[in-house]
Amino acid sequence: MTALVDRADYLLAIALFLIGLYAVVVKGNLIKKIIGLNIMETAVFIFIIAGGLAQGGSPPLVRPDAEPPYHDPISQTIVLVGIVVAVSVTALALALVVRVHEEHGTIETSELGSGR
Amino acid sequence: MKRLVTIILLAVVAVPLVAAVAELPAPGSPEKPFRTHVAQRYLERGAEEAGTANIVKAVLLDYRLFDTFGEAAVIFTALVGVLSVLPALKRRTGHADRTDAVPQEQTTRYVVSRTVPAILVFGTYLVLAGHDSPGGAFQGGVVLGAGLIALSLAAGSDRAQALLPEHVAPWLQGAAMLAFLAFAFGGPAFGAVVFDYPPASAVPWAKEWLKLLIEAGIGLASATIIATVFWSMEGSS
Repeated sequence: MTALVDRADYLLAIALFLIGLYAVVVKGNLIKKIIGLNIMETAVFIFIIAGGLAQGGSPPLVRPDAEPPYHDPISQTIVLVGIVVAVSVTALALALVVRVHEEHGTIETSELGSGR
Repeated sequence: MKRLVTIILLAVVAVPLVAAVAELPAPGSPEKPFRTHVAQRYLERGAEEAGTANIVKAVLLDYRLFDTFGEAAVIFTALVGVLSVLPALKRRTGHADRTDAVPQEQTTRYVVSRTVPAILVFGTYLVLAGHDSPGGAFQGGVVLGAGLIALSLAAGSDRAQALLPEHVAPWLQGAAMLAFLAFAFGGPAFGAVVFDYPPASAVPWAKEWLKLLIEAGIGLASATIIATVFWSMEGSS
């Protein structure tokens, strides 16, 4: 049990991931699904950043006044890349939702599935 | 029934995740993989090898530049996708047909007109400050793009689009790709491997300037791509 208490950061990320997954699976509104997808992505970023933290560490800026340990520069770079990809995915998904709304006049999956 | 399936699905995802996390080293513990692997070398030698105090930038622009190329390609591809899904951006030359859509709230206009210049300056600062402090091309570019979007919301898109003339916009949207193209072919011209910086012995100034070129390209591309995506979504309703 203490093992899990020590890893509360990771558990928070998992909880956030599940909240996002819930939104993607349950919500019928396409915009809400995209919001859920973004929550899942945020959960992954929190997980990677938490994994790259050093106890009492400083940001990976190697200056004369900074001292080790530093936080992990690679995981921060990966999250930077991930955020850019997440924004790109969101932009494309939103554009598709705009098109769906233009074609069908609704973005509710229950109304879209009826096959007009 | 659907609720039950959802709960089972979430449990099926959650249980392995929690079980796996319980086996990981705790956050901050000294036995984390990054404390013993290549990240430590980047931290020790990065400032010297890449010539920057910001090790994140050293990883981004030196050690793993090819990843950054992919990253820039992703946002460019996203723009191409958005523009092919939505009808082409309709530029509005006349102001008259759009004034009703622009909020005429004095407060909004006042606040935005006072803050947008500061936002644009801050975005430019972030692009440049990434050299040895927190910041970077993507971050600065996003701030610049957000400034353009704020301007579009308050003053109308035609005002914001005036900052980005039609014949210039495609070059700015592709700026990151063009910078990487120049880099990929310019490097070998000075005796470097493809996708590597020319050796300092051959052209001492090349590395710094090529990095600045790539940073500027990424910053401009991020800003204009984000603004263009917003405009094309706004144009179709």
